[in-house]
Amino acid sequence: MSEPVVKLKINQKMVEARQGMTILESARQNKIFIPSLCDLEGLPAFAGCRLCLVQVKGQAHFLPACQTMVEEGMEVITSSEELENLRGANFELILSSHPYFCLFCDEKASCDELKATMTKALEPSSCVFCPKDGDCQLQQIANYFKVEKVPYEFEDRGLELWQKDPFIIHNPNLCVLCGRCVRVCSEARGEGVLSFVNRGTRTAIGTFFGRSLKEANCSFCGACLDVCPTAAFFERGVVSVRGQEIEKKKFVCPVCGGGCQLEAEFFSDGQLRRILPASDDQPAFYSGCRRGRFGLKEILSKLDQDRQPTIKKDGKPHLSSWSEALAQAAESLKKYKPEEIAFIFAGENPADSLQAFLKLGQGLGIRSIFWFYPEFFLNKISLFEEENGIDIRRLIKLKELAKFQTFVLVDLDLKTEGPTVWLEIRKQLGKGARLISLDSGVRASVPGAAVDLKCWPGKENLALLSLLNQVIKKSDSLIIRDGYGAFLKELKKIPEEELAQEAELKSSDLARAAQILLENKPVAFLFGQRFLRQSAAKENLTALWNLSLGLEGCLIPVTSKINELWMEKISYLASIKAISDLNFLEHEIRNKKIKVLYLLGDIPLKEKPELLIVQNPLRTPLASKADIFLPETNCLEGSGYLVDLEGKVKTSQPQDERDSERLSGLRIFKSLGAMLGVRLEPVSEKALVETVNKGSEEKTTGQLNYLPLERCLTGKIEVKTSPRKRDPEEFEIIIGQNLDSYAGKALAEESAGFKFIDHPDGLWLNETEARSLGMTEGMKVIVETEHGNLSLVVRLTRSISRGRAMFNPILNDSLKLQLFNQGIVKAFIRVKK
Amino acid sequence: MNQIRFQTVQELKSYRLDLAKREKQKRRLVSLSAASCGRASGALEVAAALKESLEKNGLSDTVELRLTGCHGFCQFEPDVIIFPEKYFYPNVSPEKVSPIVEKTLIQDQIAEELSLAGENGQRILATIDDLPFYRKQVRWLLDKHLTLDPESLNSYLFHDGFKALEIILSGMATEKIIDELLSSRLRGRGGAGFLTGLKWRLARQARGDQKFLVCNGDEGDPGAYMDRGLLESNPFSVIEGMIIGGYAVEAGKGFIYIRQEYPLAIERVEEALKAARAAGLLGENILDSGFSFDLELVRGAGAFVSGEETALLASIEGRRAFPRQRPPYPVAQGLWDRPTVINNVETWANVPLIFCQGANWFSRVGTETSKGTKIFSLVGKVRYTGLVEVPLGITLKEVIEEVGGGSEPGKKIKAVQTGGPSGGCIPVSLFHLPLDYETLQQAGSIMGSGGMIVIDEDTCLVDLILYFLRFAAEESCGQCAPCRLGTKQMVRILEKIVQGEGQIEDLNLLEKIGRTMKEASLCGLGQTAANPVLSALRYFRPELESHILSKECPAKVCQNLIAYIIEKEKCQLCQLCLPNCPVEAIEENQEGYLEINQNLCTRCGVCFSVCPPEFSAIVKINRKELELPPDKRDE
Repeated sequence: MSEPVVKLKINQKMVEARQGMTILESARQNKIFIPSLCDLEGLPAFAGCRLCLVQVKGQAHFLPACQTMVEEGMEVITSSEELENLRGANFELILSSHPYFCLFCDEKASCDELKATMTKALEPSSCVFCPKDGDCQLQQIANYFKVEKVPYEFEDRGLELWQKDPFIIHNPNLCVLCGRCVRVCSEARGEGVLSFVNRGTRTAIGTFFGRSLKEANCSFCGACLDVCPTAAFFERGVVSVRGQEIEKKKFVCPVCGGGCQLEAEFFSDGQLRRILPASDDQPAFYSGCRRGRFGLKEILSKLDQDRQPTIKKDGKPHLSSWSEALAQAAESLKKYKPEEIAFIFAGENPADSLQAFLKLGQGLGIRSIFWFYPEFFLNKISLFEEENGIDIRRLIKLKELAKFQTFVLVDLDLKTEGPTVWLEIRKQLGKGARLISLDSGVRASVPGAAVDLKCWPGKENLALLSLLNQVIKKSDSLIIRDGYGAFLKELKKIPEEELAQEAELKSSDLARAAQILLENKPVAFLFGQRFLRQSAAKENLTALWNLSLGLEGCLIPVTSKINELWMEKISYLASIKAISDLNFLEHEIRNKKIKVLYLLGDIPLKEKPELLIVQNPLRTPLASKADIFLPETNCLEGSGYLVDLEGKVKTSQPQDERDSERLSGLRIFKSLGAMLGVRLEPVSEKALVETVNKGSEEKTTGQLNYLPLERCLTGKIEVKTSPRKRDPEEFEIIIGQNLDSYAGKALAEESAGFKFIDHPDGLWLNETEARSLGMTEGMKVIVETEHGNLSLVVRLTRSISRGRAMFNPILNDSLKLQLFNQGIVKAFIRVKK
Repeated sequence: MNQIRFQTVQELKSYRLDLAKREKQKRRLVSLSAASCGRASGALEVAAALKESLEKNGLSDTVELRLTGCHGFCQFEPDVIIFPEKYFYPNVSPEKVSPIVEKTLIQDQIAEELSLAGENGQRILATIDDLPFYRKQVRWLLDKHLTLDPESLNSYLFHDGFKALEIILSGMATEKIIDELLSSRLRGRGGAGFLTGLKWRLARQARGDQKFLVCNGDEGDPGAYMDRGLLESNPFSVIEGMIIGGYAVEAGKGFIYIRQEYPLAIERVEEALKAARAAGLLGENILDSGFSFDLELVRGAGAFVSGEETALLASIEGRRAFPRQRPPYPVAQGLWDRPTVINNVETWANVPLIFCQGANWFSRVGTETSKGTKIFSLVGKVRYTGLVEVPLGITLKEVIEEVGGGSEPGKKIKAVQTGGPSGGCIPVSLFHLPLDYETLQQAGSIMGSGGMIVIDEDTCLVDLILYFLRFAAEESCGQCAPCRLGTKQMVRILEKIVQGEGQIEDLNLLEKIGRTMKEASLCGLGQTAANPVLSALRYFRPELESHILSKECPAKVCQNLIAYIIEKEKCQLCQLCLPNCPVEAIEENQEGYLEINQNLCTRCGVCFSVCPPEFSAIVKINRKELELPPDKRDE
């Protein structure tokens, strides 16, 4: 599809440009420089800085190149004495509102040595405090204009810094009001936290009624930091680059399934400066979130001490050399019979490294190779598919989401579980698509949802059938497929109100949702692991299938962990079992059937085998107990391929010459293999791509490029009524997923900021209900379940309904794991005395 | 009164023509100016007193009391005009009601003692025809404000209301409507002066699934209230203009944007919209013409920049009132990216007039390029202030000297500032210039929406432009750098100058900033915000220079440059000033005279104002004369 091209003259030169391009874009394409400040590729034009003014023949005024579209026959002059004078005078005005001592200072040349000590202060009153010094767009433009003096006295605006929030500091005194942060926050990230406030000379960037970012529901994606041309928005603790060599390394964020391409910046001494998004195929500010850029940074820079392996001697870990540790590991593996050894992987390692681990295990003849992954739900879908002879597509490309008019999120906190998918959907919402949420427990309201259906936990299937009832009422044009008639007959046996009541949904809300579904087709139903991590998983999926079938919709499972799509394939191809609990393993360890455990990553293991080898970038409590601990490279250091939730294979660059004493997983497995006589071939990117796509080629046909649903699932529909709350302290606890962890450690463990925003032991309760029980924000409570008690921290929200609570545990102990596998747990919540 | 719903044009027409016959005319009409300013000056109390008095005297059947909109003569609010004689009673208070009723309504005489004092040999100025203020105007729009009940559709119909709509809907082709408007040469009254007919034509030709009309009633210039006057006094005329506009450009919906600070205008327009809807003049299939159109009132939240058309559109759409770059102009891409005609209140109000009287009739008044009349808000140092409507092409001198009655006694007029914060000062030497769009622009000012502030020798030019620049700096939307920062720097420089700390180079810097703002700003606000300064540099450079070079303020206004002294020859030692001085700076010297201690004096001016006028012993002089340096202390 070729887009129409127009011809125009820029500075007397004939150039071609795509229609819909701005003069600025066209000039850039032709290597013609026009100074600009507020413009940023990927954001709507603002035309506020007025530096890119150009002369267009036939126009009385100069026009901003960033906002003026090219037209056939247009004649543009980008530079003339008049224009340069005007821009220069304008830039002087811009500088008049920003501390400009970094530009014109007599000491400028000689002060580099002085500034090292001054970086702790937050308030840049001069160049030496400014974290953007040397990397500032104002400085670059000043260079272009060769500004030597500003005819205006500098006036400190004296505005208060925003420093109540973690990670992000805003210094309004440095702000040039280019509005990039406002635009990125609302247009690109869909957050709408930042906006312009006040007017005239008091115009500033602000939040809703001046609240802190956290109180204004900021998700701390950090996009404002990426787009700010000055240090008005800057990352806490990041210091200026001036005078220092910065090394950069691109890597794939392993924290969630999005697999954002990030970039780490290191000082020459190896100290991590910061982590930034670094996407290649779209503006960087569309990717990355607080987990990758702040959480990883803090956890990895604080836990950087484990560089050498340890071997346990006399009950205590002792540092050893790599050769010694690897030799001992090989020897141990040799000493035991293959059936006495178990290989378990649970880490965020690159796929090629994991494959080497599997190959090593299989080469040694080990049968007990497990993939510990409680969140895994694709296997449940597979089983369901087999049972019912149907097919649900796995690979959904984000771009395909543009084809849908309505998105239904079912038991899916998409913003945290699939941030990249969420951003894509946000874009579609901006273009007029509709959003419906059906969830038993959301701790924050779903932004942009037209209808927010909050059903009783475990009654999702009834909620979906109730929704279907409303759809049927409003439309007689349901697509009737095999068995649909029988199914509807079955559905009609149950009074409609009974269904809705049991799901605790109002028919008016359901009717509104049904209306939207019917009027805005096609519909995509996105669901996550929580939807199938409950006892009614099958009923849930059946109901969703039938609803989707009637509406000709599309089911999209959203996987939330990196490599998940590849793991599903590889575990099938190599018959690796995915396990969601450790009961069997611990049983085998107790019975001495399994004596050696080689663990990649971290698991909440209670029983210790005779010999425990742990390989993990971080020294978790379990790693400290290991007989042999192998600290492998972390995600910033190692290279390799990771598979994201689209099934895209992404590459982490090998680190340039950075001397890490840690070894990569691949090197470890290769060395062990060499010692044990197992030859490991490197896995190519191509092979990975093939594995991921295996079996899905034929599913990518069809008009909408998704698999049309075919068969209706019939069967008896049962309404199991469940007793509701009898005691005020009795709650239904929804156990959600917490992705804020890396290598078995909660990001919040090393980051006070993380803890402040989202406490890993937070228990989300309905604000009014909790208050009536005497619970306040941040209060410790005891949660009594039949499996055991937990001490959690109260978080209040208006989004969750009464009688239920939500807890998103990091799975680092067995009780949490047990609860997680239950999905929904009855409990008493009592104030801790 | 039960409003009938008009089904056809014919029905409307016969109803309107019948009104004159049916309405039994009372012998007299008492017209009380009761728009915002009148009410603020007690019009409602006067109305109550009048009503009571009429009832008491059994005059209710023969005299009609009508609370009209603005009569335009500000300084005499509230005023009463009694028809048919057109007796004019200024500053009426409840106490004056009974002599007026007694003398004029009962005895058919004029209550001379309550009339305006005469001039040039006249004893009194008894009727509005005697008043030069009214006599020199051409009040095509404003005259109706004297007799029209703004809350009554019938009253509007009685005043030829909706006659234009009848003409339009009786088979006038839309192209013909636009041709007619074009040939009237009506230009936008909001300031820029774009040909209204051309704007309509462009909107009509623009492609869009929907088109919109907007009435810009976000009048924000300090001291200007033309739009408020029109909206409060004759809301139906704006509505009728917009219905005609909607028909011509095929728009289905229009918005009337009024600033929140105009509560009475909002109330009246809201009521008028209801009445028009009930009468079938708005809504589906208006008068069976097949044309459907409705209007919605939108309240502005108080930002001056919302008066800029693109910012206003953003505001209607519910966004922050940031302007956007033009082109594309609203006629191509306006509200929700649809073609939109946005016109000022006065422009819309002129539309029915043109179609009632014909384009030829309209264009016979004015200059080659500027036709019709224009309403100005004439304020400042003239004898008569108020809303005045004059034919375009009239000279500034005629407006100021004749309508405005010239300078205040004993003072000399220095200049006139037109166009509000976006305009400039035109010196007395150019008062021969005709009032039209181009001439004012060439003179470094603008027509603007019609603000006209007369200043005399007691007004300091620097102080005045500082006021306007402060206003612009406050009201800049903050989006584009030249406007936000240029106004700020100009304020800083001017502040230095009035404090006697200016440097002569500052004048060049002001000029440079001014040019940058003019050329580089995004919207009209920024592009014109430097006009007060640029025109001052053009015409009043010596006054600026004297602040800088000799640290003198010729008008003796700038606090830091002046001093108060007591002239001992005039001082009668009444000692009134003594206890009034807040800083006890007035002392008795050894010779027994009172003297102001300049070290203590903060130049608050209290002594100056309490010194009895018959003595006038305290005078302002420049500090320079006392060989004192500028003093930065504030009061």
